[in-house]
Amino acid sequence: MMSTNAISLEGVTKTFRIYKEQFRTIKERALHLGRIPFSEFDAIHDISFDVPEGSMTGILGHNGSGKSTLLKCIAGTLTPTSGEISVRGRMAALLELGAGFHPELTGRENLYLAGSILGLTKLEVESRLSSIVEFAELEDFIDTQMKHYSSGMFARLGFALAANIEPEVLLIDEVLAVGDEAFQLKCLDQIRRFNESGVTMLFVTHDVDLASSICDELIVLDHGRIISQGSPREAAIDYRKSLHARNDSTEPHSTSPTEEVSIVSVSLESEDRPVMTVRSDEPIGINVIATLTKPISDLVVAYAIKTIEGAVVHSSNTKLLNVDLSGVGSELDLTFVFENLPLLEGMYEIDIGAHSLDGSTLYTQANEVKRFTLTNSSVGAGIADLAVRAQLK
Amino acid sequence: MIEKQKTSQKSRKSVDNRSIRKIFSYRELLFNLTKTELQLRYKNSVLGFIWSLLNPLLYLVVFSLVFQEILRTSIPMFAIFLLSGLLIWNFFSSSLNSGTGAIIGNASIVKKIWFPREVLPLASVGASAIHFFLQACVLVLALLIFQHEPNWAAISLLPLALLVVIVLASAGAITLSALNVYYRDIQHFLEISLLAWFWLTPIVYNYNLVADRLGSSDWVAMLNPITPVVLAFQKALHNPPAGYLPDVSLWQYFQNLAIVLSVGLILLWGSLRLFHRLDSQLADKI
Repeated sequence: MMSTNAISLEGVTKTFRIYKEQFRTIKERALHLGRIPFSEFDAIHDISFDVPEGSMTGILGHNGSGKSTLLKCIAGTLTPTSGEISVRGRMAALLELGAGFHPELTGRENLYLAGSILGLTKLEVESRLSSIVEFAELEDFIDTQMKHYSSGMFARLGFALAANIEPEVLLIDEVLAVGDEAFQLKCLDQIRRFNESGVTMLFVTHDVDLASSICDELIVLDHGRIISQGSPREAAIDYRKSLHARNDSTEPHSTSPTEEVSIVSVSLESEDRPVMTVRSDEPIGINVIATLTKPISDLVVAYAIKTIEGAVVHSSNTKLLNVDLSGVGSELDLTFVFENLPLLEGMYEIDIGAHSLDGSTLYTQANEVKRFTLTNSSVGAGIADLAVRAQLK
Repeated sequence: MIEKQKTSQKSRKSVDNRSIRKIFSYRELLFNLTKTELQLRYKNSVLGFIWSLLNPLLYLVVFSLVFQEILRTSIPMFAIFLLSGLLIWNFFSSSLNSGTGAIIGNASIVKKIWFPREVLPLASVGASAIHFFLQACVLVLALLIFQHEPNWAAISLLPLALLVVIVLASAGAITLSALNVYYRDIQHFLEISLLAWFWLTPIVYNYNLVADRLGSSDWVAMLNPITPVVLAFQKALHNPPAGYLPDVSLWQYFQNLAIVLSVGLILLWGSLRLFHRLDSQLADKI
């Protein structure tokens, strides 16, 4: 069956004029008539892509790459300077959670107001009210003025409203940056449910792990242009490379004593898909991508899994694992594969390093380059998940 | 309903009845924003909406003192005369005043969510309309207390007069709200203009006072579009003896209102066009 496109962009450009000063009053305008100094810049330039119905596309970009401008153009709050955008279906934009909420009004009053901004009728809000409040876990506060809400409560109510309006096309902008971990997981769950029920989603973020773990396709923006588009894995690598090239990023944070090896990305993979959370009983891979200035005959790559407090849980390297890296050319794509991770539930971190066979030369060292959450249903305290049972005689 | 069917950015560029239909489809929002504006005005105040009743009462006391006791106006039942014109003027001027800041005041929503932004200034007009009806209670009360008989036949003019004000206020609020994003001078300029406009409208003095001096060129006084409206209210509710208001048939009053209404509708159409032109840049400039 031919699938149609829910969102389609063709040659979309948004040009902003940057005035040296903002002349807002008529007097100032008259004084500077015709010669207000300004420069133009394209926040997004000649963007074309299609989002097929029911798919989930992520837009990755660092700060200032134009990803939010792009989303605002699709949502209709900004009008593109040139190009054509078409959206098919009932659209809802989550450009910022809680937009349209007024602090002086109560949560309930705000739901009616924000609901009608999103295009819902009073009856439609009424029928959803209890499920919205339940989702936001704000049963006790719904009749409190929102100025007394915490920022997390604000965001929860915003997401709960958006999650309950049953859109066909949903635009999501950095919404998961707020709220505690439990609520973030709940939001992710809801996003997955949307995905299963065929909602088309456009997801804007700079969190590459999150994006690549939930999206079908990724688009990478840099300075308003698409630099990569395709499967999450490849696009994520391109994104990391672009970050790396910018050199103003802290991710991955590597101190290179020598310049011969530089780590492009470190990610966790399960069945060839990047993941953020790991289950202790599942196979998991630590994937390292690095670039080499020249082939190194005595290269060894090492890893360490540490607890968040810094205790090393496990550590090994390619020498101990009998992998010869001397034949690697300019790009290294290496995965350490684990059958399982018998550790207790918690947060862990990964260090990656590269050194010479005898350990005398350190090529690169990246500490705490990757943090991940491990889930495990076993109980017990400590680090290791040992198979144990209590026996009474 | 949220954006139904195919929405194309380019299609929004043409102004026609589509934009009016769009506004109509967001009437629920218009209603809610109006409600919010009223709610916000009285949140955290003990006397609540009584404050908006005190405003015309204060005017009444001050103007009665000045015009009746000091200037010795000849208008009988000055309190009722004043309120007849003042309340409808308040409706008009407060619509423009709050409408001008409607878009800037809601910048946070305008920047983030798309909806027909015309709804914002229209909600200001809506809130002012509700106020007008609340304040009208004071007038009705005054009529009852003074046992003043209105001109029942002329009351039939009032729905039309009210419609004229709504159309004019909407046109003004829509235009000013958009222009104010570009030129913040608008709100200061408006304040002074409304003050001048108030004194140029026969509210605290009677129409014939001016018209008699103008003689044959008394049509000049009718250039003020609010004048026919105020006259209709004064005719209907105050109903002074001959010599104070234009002594023409009710039909003539009706015609004047009809002329202003047609002008108002053209202005409203023009204001929607202008808003549409400026709309695409609003979120950039705000």
